[in-house]
Amino acid sequence: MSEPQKQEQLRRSVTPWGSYSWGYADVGADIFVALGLVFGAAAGATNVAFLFAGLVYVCVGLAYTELSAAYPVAGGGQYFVMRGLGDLPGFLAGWAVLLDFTIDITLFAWGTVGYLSHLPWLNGLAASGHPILHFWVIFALIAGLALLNVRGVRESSAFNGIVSAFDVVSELSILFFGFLFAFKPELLVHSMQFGWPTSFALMNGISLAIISFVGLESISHAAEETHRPASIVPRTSVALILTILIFALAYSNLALGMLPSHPVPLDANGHAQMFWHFLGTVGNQDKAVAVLASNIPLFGSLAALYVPVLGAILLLISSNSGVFGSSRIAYSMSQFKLLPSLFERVHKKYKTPVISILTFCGLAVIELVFAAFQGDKGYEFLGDLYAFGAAASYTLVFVALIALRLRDPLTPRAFKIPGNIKVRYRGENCEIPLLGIVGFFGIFTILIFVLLTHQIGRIAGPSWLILGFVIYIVYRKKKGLPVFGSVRRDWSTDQIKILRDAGELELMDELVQKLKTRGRTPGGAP
Amino acid sequence: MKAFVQSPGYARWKMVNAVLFVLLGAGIVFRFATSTVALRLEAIPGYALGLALLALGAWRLWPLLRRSAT
Repeated sequence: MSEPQKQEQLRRSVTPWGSYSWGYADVGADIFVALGLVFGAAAGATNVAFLFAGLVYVCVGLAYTELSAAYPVAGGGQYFVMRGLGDLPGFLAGWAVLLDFTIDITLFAWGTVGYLSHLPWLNGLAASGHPILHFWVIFALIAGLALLNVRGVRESSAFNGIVSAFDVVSELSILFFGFLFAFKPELLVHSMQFGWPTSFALMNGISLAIISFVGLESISHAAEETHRPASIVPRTSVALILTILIFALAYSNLALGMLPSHPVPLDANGHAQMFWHFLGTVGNQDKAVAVLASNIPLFGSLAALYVPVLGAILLLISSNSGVFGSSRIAYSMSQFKLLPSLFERVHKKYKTPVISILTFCGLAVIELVFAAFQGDKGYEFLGDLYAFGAAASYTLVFVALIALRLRDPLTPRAFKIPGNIKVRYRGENCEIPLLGIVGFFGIFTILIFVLLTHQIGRIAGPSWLILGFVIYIVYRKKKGLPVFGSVRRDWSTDQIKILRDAGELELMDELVQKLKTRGRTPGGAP
Repeated sequence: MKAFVQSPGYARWKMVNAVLFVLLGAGIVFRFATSTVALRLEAIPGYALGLALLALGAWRLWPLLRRSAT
């Protein structure tokens, strides 16, 4: 293993389609995981839960788009928060994202097995049928992904692109045929009236619905590898945000008003149940989209063959992005002295961050063990933790967005969240993003819902943050660095370098000009 | 993949997708508007979905149509 070394420049070769499909492969897979979980919680109000979480997600997505276009670096939320609020909040945001990435590894590997188990010849893999076999298959998938990442094999951009293109067409086909052949508006209204949940269950459903919109970190990951990200990222991100939102809304509405082509089996007590209720049962939560697709008249028999396979591939890509993303975030945090330099070490032969990969895959396995002990509730347990990590990190990103508008008004923003109020702050003209404030309250509400309704999430989530805080204190004290303060950095010089490396020379010139007119020379104090 | 993205085939694929979005959105709005629950509060998510699909399809279709016209 070699000592920490200077980070090599990532090749900027991602095209607009590549940028879109990178995000789509990450965020697009979420609905495959979330649909069944949200139906299990929000029942007849699932579409309302997705609508609420979706509107918050649009604000989060726009915030990430603005920040990724202005600061095209791979650190994502952790970098934005550190830059806007300081080292400790940056660490906490990064640590929450790390929780999400490790859960992502386990949850999506679980989903991969769930979708495969919908195929008639792989029924035996279902969690409800053979829990021990189920556990070992997921363990093998995680171990396999860890090994691939240590060897440096990552899903190629081209493979992502092909799978994403196929999935967009497939999801559109499911919705098209579903709404054409099986949808009844009257049934949707009846389902909402008949199955409207309690307020507590609706809050639980909304907090779970946010997990269908997790993975926006991929926008910033793609930004670092995109040439001229300031012009490409906003274009592809807005398309991505709208596509994902519409799919989530469409699936929930379709399932609530759908007449399935096969009779719905009786529930555990021998009573008749609605189709959407069937989708939210423990046996179907981890393969809800495949169950829905295979119940569409005429199209269903074809969908039953390929949707489980497509879902499994997309979920496995997403699981792999958890392995890749966690090691990348840990590497970035280590470079900014938020985590020990151990996480920067790369393998002698393969030049990959082997310690990070093995640590976070190890954590993913521990989470798998905990989930397995929950029995039928294992999948929901992972969903709870996933929702906590996402809500916590997104909340901090909104605060960072507002803070950066005030503290760094000179950095050119090729894209700005719409709806701004002009203010004077420290002698500079700044803009407060109103939608950012709305988004902050929205995601903070979801964080409160998570803490109120998720028995395990409200203990395990904060415990994770406390554990991280303790590690942070020990590390910073050992290195003689401030615990509550921040290491002094020259952000102006950094920003000029970031823009130059991204090929955004006009924006770089604009920034240099602004700095000069204020008598600040790049390379001087921030 | 890069060659495909720059090819006329990709533009056609985008156009087919956009048309599908528009058709799907229009179909959903039509189904709700002509149903017996057209004016119920619970129908709002259905209308919202249909209009969002229409908007996304039109947003994707508009630049393609403008480019092909010029």
